[in-house]
Amino acid sequence: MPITDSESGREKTVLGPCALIFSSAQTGTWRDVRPVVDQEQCILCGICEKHCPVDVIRTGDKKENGSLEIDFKYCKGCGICAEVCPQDSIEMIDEREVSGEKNYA
Amino acid sequence: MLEGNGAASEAMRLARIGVVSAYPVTPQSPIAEVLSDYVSQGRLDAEYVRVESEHSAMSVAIGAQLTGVRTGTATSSVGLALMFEMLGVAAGLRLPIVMPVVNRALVSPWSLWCDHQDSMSVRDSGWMQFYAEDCQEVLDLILIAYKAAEHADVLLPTMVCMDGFFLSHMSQAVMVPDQEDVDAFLPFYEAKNLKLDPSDPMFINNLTPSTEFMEMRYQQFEGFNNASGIIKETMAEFKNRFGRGYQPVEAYRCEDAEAVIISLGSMSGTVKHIVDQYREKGKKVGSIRIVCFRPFPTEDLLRIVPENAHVGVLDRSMSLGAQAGPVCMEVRSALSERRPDVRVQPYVAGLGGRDLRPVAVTTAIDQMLEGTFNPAAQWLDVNENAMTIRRYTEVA
Ligand code: SF4
Ligand code: SF4
Repeated sequence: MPITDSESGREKTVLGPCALIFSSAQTGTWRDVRPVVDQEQCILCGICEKHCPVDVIRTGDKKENGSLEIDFKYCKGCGICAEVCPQDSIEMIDEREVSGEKNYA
Repeated sequence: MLEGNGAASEAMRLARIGVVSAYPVTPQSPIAEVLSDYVSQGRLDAEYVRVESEHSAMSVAIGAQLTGVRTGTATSSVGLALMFEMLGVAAGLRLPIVMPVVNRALVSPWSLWCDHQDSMSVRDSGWMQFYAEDCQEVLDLILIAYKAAEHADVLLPTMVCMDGFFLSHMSQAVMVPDQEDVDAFLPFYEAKNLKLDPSDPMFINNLTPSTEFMEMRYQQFEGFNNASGIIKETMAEFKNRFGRGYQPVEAYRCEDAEAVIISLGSMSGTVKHIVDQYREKGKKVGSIRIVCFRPFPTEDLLRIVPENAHVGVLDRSMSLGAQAGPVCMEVRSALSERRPDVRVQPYVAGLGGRDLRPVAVTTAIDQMLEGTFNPAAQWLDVNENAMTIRRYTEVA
């Protein structure tokens, strides 16, 4: 994985499982079901954001026409968000329906 | 005069290791003790960490080396076995740790004495492996190992193996180079990969998904591919500076040889002595010594094995359940496709501290000169009563 040398800004490569930040642990590769949000039904209450164990949900602001966003590089497909949603607005669907052979975003 | 263990300690002192974490185990203990003396006498500016096991010894070495320091540890036999898990971590994290391994049999039967079962059992752990023939080589190969291992295109940990007692406890006149010359050959250590820095926290050795795991193994595979050439360059540079030349594999009197013995470590001295005796009688016999077992010097071996030779490989360990010992399997796989003219006969000798007696070597050479061949390992100098060696009388 390429990382950036903070001082010079040059891109370097690292050998083996070394990383500067958590970004190297792409938990999105574990996912076999994916949360899909019905943005119409979602009231942006933020409950799912608080429960997501990898903290990858961002709840936008209703007033600013915001929406619910999930970072699929790290969403591991646990389904907790779908479970806690009071509006039942998250559906867990088979990952292969979305990304075909490749199983992460 | 230095023993093999003393030569190893001198080499590590000259390499200016900054952290020592070693746990004593026969026959390696003198290395741990001498390094401790060096630190207490101020001859070595290092942190000496007293650890409670070999697993911890390697763990500390890994942690220390990750912060960008050259580290030192050494082990033997069951100690190496206890390190097994951490050997893979050092290799996968691409830490060029150099570790003397004083070869001793693995249990059971319990033994303190030399054979190669310990280091051979970790031959696939991602460490390079060099085998020294004498005490001078112990010192020289350790210095060469640091330099080659730390090369940015290599970054692989390295074991420098010496035969327990035969080398570790045998005194020999050893040329100890000056610190200045070693410093010029082996400059101050700088980590070439990422290093741990408390002011810039980093996450290492994370759970790596299948999308990256194979790539990282492949990086190690490439490291070994690069190492073959870099080891040779390093050996050449060492010769220029210190005058003593090495090769990953060495041929001795192999011209036109009909029978060739391949061996490692201190066994090669005995083999060469016997080769001389055969040559005096006009018999075409030679010896090949593998100095660098990992990476295995396939191309060099293909080049130096004489045409139509009968090759006998002396393994000082056995791959139980296989036809041959590990060195022989390696030689066979290197030669099988490209040298159909050559026959490779596996031999097993000198286990658990048994001397490699001349009779073991002459038996092998005579069999090969007669043309006797058996695809399965022939055990040399084993007592005929092997199957009934311990008897008891049942009392009714
Ligand atoms: S499925 Fe799990 S990981 Fe993914 S967004 Fe929902 S709670 Fe977070
Ligand atoms: S819990 Fe449901 S309604 Fe609330 S923000 Fe998440 S998806 Fe929207």
